Amino acid sequence: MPVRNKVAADQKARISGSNLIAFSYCAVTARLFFLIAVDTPSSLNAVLIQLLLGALYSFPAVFSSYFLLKKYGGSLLYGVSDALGSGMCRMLLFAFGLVFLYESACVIRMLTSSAEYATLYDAHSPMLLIPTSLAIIYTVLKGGNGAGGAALIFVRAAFVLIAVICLIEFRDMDIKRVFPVMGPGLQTLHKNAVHTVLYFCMLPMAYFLKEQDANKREPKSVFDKPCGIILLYAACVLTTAFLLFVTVVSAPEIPNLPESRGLQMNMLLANGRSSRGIQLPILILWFSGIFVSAVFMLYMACALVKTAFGTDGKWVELLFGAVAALLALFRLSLKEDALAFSAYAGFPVLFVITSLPVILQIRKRFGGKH
Amino acid sequence: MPAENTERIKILNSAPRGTLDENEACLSAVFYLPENKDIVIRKFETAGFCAMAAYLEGLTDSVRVTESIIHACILKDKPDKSIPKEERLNFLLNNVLFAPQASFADTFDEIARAMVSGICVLFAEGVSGALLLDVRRIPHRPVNRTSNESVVMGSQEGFVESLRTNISLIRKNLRSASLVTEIMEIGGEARMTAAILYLEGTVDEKVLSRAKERLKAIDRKGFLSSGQVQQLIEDSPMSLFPQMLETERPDRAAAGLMEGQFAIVMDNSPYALLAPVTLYHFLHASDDSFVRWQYGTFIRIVRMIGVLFSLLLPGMYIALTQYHSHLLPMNLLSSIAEARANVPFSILGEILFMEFSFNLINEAGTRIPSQIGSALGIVGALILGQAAVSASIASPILIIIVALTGLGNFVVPSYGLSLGMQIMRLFILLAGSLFGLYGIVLSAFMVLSHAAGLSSFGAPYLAPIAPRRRSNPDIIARLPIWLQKRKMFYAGKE
Repeated sequence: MPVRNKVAADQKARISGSNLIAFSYCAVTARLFFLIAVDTPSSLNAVLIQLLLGALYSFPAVFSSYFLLKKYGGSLLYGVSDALGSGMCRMLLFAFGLVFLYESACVIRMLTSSAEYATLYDAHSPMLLIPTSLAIIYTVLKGGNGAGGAALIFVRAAFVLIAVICLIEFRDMDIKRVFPVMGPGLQTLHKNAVHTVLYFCMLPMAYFLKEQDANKREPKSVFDKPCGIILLYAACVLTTAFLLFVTVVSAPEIPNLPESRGLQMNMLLANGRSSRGIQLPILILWFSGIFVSAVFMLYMACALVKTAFGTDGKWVELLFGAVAALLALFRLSLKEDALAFSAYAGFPVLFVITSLPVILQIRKRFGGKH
Repeated sequence: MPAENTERIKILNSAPRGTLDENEACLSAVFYLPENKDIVIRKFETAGFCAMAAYLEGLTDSVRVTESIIHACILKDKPDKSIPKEERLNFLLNNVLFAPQASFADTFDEIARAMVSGICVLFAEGVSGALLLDVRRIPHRPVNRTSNESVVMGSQEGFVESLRTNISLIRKNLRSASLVTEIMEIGGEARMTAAILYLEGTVDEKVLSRAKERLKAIDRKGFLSSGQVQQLIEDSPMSLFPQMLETERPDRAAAGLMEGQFAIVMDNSPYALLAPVTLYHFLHASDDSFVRWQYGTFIRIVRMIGVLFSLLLPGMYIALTQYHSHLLPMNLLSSIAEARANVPFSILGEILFMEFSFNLINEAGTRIPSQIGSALGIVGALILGQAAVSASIASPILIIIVALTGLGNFVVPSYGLSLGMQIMRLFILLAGSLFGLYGIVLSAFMVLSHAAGLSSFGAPYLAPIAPRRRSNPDIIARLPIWLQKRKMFYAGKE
């Protein structure tokens, strides 16, 4: 037996700040891009407006989180626990965990559908669920540093791939394609922007885990400060905007039915919008981005529930991974359901996070802890 | 347990007796005399009392035993009655003997351990103790060129199988008073001498104590080499990634010590184990830092591309040809199709056959006696060359793929990592053949997350990139040497 097993435990794997930030940045950006570029084709070329509108809606949640982080020395969990009490805080974390669980099922569904569409024409997505779920569960089981580290490496590689795509596509890009920005009308844009709220709110939800080891971590980057959440939020918005911009200004070939999701996928992944030379980097980016997103969702679901109930062990990952795969298998996370879920879940989450500073102020005024 | 063994254990735990005859009997029991012909026992008279020297022939320098111990003692033939019985060994040590290092042993266990490491033991009549005299002459090969870590520029010296020589080589490269060498005996029955070297003030104390703790906890009974020690003390022994760097270069070991690593050097192992390490350490070579920074960076980028080729090329080939043929230019696609027209196997079968052949030639090349080595080149060229194509066993493009993959594998300076990469390549190849690019992405992330989750004595394996750590900018690119001012992230805080 290796000596290591006999010697007292060396350390317990924890997610470091840089990994969590890269993890959430990559996952949220990939999810937003998928939602705006593929899942809501009704926004046509007004994707940038849709993004900015969604970012505007969710800014109060991010700002509230900033307020709580500032007030509680970088610990969002402590702030929420103080505002709502320990029991409510646990319930909230559990609810957030379930939100992430459902979202992970949606992303697994997206991943298998993409694979079926772009690679495995003759395979059935339910069968693809097995390797996909196994890979996701394995990655989540590697802990925050394993999964987050892989995401951080991917973020670095992604910039190279994006640069390659832009370089090859450069001559075919046309800035005129961005206009007219208001094509689908304000009502549609508002409706689509609402869907994005949940994904932006995932950043404060991720911060619940980040502060747990804040006192023990070594690096002191700007992201470790309370303003880090605003910077992270801005980074997600800007990167998604950049990706959407590149997609919009690239040569479109829309013969008919712009609402068709299959057509949108075709434009991105096959011979539609992209020339042959860039399909390889696009495919790698596409699969990797969504994979990281799925891993992030499942990791967050498990970590939030573990934090809520103070549990440990690998059974949570195994159980939640199986549940997410079953949700995807029984088609409970199809596009329409996922869109409806993001619309209905986004605003309650936004409301809860935004109202926390207000609750704190009320408690303070009426003789709470402060 | 047989009675003989019980008796022997009793003797091992007991102190030397007061008479030479009893001590001789004890030594006979411990070393199975008279069957064992390696043990030399020599009695003689000195200063008016009898003494006895015992040593292992071959490991001890007989000339020095004769001159520094036996001859010196016999010359002191004048009886000196003023010496108390219990002070006889002390008297010899202070006035007669010419041994540079000496110590006293209180049990036969200590005596036996000392003798098997080449130390001469001296008993005196009337003294219930023994004197251990370091007059070793353990045979070892001279310092030679490195065999596995060759460099174009830089030092060519390599470690040998002698612990003392290896420590001296490190000290020669790192002339610092802060360099500490702690020597310890590790293992069970056949204990081995190992040394842990570190620069005081540079190494992280926590890491060091963790390493010492693990070394002391080794209780394996069998033979211990540095490779086995590595497997016993690394953080994740089930992983395909090595978590300690084996180097046969003293300059590399010295550089590692200066960066805050510790080194474990063992008797009989021409390697030093360095830790903590990151994945990037396994991709660095000694001459990267010997040449100018632009050249070093360029070589490293070439090496990184080689690593990617080695891991991904066969998998990518099968994924692109089987699932994503629309991503290939038409000319290339048609030439691949033409070349494969007469090949009766699937692409996966073809790749696996060629990979296996390549590994077979590689392994045979390692084991084959040098006199008949040239034959292997001919066989290799036949299997991996025109004959395979003519026999329609493999297509020409596949031979290029396998050759590039093999070359990519050979650019990895660490033998351990390159073996691990061969296994990972098979995993990625199978994933690519089952699920195309999607499978490659899934498998690559599994490998990546596995590596990111590893640690080497507490230092994250992919740091300082993932997680990000403030560290010396000598990771993939090598910045100019005057800009490398920061310490490595795993170094201790001063």
